[in-house]
Amino acid sequence: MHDNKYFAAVIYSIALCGLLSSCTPGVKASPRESLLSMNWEYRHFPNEAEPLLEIAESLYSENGTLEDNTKSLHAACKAVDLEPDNARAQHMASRACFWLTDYGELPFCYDMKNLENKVLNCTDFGEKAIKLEPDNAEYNLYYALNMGMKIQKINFARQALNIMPLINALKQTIKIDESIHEGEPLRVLAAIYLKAPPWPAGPGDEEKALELLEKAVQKYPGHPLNHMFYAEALMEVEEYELAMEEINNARNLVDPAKYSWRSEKYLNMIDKLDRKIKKEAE
Amino acid sequence: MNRNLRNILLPAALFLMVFVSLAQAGQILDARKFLVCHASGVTSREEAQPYIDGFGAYLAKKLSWQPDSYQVQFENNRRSGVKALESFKPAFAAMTLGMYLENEKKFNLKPLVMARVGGKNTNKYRVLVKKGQYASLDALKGKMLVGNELEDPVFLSKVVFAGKIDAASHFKLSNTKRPLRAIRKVSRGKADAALVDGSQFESLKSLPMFNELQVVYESEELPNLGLAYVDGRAKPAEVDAFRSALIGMCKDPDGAKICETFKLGGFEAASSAMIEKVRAMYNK
Repeated sequence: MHDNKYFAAVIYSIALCGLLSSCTPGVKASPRESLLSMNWEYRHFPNEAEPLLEIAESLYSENGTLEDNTKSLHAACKAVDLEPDNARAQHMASRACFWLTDYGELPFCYDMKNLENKVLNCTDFGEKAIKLEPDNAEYNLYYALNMGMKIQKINFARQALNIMPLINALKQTIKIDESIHEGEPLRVLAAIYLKAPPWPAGPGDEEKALELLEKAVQKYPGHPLNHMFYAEALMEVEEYELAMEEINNARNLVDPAKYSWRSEKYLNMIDKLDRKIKKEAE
Repeated sequence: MNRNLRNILLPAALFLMVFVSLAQAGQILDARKFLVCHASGVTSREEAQPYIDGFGAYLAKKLSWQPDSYQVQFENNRRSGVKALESFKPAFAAMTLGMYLENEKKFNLKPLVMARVGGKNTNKYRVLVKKGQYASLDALKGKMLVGNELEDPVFLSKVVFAGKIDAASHFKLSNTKRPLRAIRKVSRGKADAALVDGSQFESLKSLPMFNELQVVYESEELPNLGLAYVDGRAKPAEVDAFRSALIGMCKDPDGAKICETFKLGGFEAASSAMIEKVRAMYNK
């Protein structure tokens, strides 16, 4: 029943502006229109993996539009259907899938066999990608990010059971290449150590988080979230003055031109943490 | 009764019944309020809410409560937990043994269930020091004791230390929300001693730090109080039903997932004898 509710929400919320000539905010496609448009899109995409992946790559952008990243996902999905053992196809689907989930949209692709839209499990793509190319840092990173996203949304009772595979995937990413997206593997792993239930109930460990974040702000000082999570780790070890300094550093680094729709999200996170630090310091 | 009068009174009574039941629909019933006070953890109310809601939903399903007829409140420190006992007025509450003993008379609390953790329904506290540094509690006079359960000096003195010392004046107490931090401080020489509970001690055995530390004091085996109830707020049958739902929880497939999340082995009926023993220590 839960899935049906989401499916209905998807039908009414996915914008098809790229396919339809009009794009009026608030005007949503009907279920039948959505299916027909998807069918049309898939039929008119190339029928070979490489051209599809070129389309997917050209449309994907961190700061891109929902429409373009959605189409990127659909192109990658079709490539995966045509060549399931194409690691790059699996990764590009994984990456676009994460983008959509992070944006707040439910990702789905078109099932050409059953002629219906199917809601995606983003971790499937990442899992396949790293099976095919285990030493690719970016493939590992997006697999971990999708896992993290999934953990947030699943039944709370199962969350504690799923953290270790996520931690292991991030450790693997750091081993291969910690520098992706200005230290993203470091700060995501640190964030997990900050948020996870602390010892002895879970793997949460503020000192491990602090160590990772000290490295992240030293080596990759330009990313606001490195400073924000560092502030949180400092708060956990009761270094409130330093925490406040890092919160201000984080805020000053949020550039709407660079981070687009994420800027607002980052500023909200920073403001929330700012209030928490002030309360803790009282 | 005069027929005319009955013709007025009967519809009026019916109207009143309907009105009252409509007014009650959506109202939280007093007997269906429960408080979870987790005083020694880092979890904020916001972070805990989905877990608490899940726990509440499970119990509501078992007890056939309508979704809008019950309420669960979470507090993460003793002070707001006690405030909630006053203002929120729960019928059932999960709280520390110290909070229970402190407020037993004031709020007419009774023990409902014990919690089984690590296969036991008791908990033993230990004071750890760096090996060779201090030989006894006496040697720790004036020294820093760290831990995540140091905010109740009365409970510490009377129950954990069995009246042997006044914890607040014997030690420099330094409470932290993160028990591993406390133990690391001792290991690094930044604190003199750490107070750990049973599950922390067992988990510590798998860390390399364990071999650097020694136990200089052990408390008695103290009851693991799971939940208490406020006498008179729920009917005896409601209390019994709530108790049964908790006792069956970890054996039930849905409840077992919750138990796993909270690292609970299960609940069992509270032992009056065990509670009486600590009550006597507390009230000495």
